[in-house]
Amino acid sequence: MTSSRTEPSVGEKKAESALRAVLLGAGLWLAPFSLVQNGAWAGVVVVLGLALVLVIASVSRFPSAAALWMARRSSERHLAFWSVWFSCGGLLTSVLVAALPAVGIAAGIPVPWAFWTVIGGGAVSALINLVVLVRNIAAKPGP
Amino acid sequence: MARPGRQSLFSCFLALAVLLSGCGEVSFTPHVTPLVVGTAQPQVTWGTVAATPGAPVVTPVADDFDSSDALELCGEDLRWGDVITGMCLAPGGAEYYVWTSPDDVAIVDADLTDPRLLGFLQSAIALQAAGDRFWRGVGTNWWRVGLFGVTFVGLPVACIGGGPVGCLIDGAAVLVSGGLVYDLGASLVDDIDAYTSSYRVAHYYFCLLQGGSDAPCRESSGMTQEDLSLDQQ
Repeated sequence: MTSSRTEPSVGEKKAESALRAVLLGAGLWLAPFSLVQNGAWAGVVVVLGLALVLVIASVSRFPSAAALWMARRSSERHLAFWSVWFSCGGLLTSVLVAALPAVGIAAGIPVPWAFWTVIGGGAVSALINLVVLVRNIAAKPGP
Repeated sequence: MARPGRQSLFSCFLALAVLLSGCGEVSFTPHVTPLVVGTAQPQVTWGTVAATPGAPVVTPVADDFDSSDALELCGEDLRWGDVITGMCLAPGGAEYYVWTSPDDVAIVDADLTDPRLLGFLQSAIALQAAGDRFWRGVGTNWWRVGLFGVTFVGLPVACIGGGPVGCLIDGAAVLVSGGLVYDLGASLVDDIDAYTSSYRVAHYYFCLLQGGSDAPCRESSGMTQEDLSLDQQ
């Protein structure tokens, strides 16, 4: 029996891991915003639902399918570049999300407890994206 | 059948005639209740407090009593500012708890004719409003950052799947959402400025309440003329 598909390339693996990190990170920073909807249940349900979808997508086959789709349309070098782009985008978004409440703390404004979870979610998301970015940059380039 | 233009002209003249005929017949009996001007409340004006330095009206409280304890005693209604800088009406209604740091709570007689206390109250209200605006801004406009993230991270997908057109459209979306994030940041910075400004003004009035005079209190609080104008907005 022959495999219908060859082993994924290094660039494809990089893109896949970066996409997984971006999706997981987005779910992590999005979920705490359900706590600052001031009791608007529709808002809570939408935000939590979206966060759940993102987390599930991060562990599903979607990132590998997306990476394969990109690999068929891009060169290996481009794929490696786009993987760095994904991680940088995820990192930038997470830092911005954490920074919004953090500037209030820096200015001495007392923080409602829910915003601490937003800062925490943003920080964890930034860390995940940073680790994947460093690993992808350090990984041996593809042929 | 009359033409619509002539009908309109006729209606217009008729209306004018009715109006003019009514002008001379209007009898108007004024019924005005005499205006009673009450005693004006004392106004806090920049510089007037300094001209009349008062005796200290502040009584320190026990060391282990902090602003959270004060807020708990006061209840939910008559409180202004926050746990760091604020005041609230003590049980019984004869005194206010006033603080400019959580551990530095003092008791002041509930006399809002004292411009120093009134000034502190105004700055505490302004401070609370600025803080609330800040958190409301973060809590309701965070989606701008999310939109920026989606458009930014999605650029490779748009370029590969949509070609140059997809690239251009997503690039434009990145710029627009980036502008929205910038706008949010600028608005939050304004709120922070208003908060810190009210914080300095509150410190100034607290210093005056402790018996300090204008110049040293301005210096110790770091308050500027601009702070007062921001605080009054």
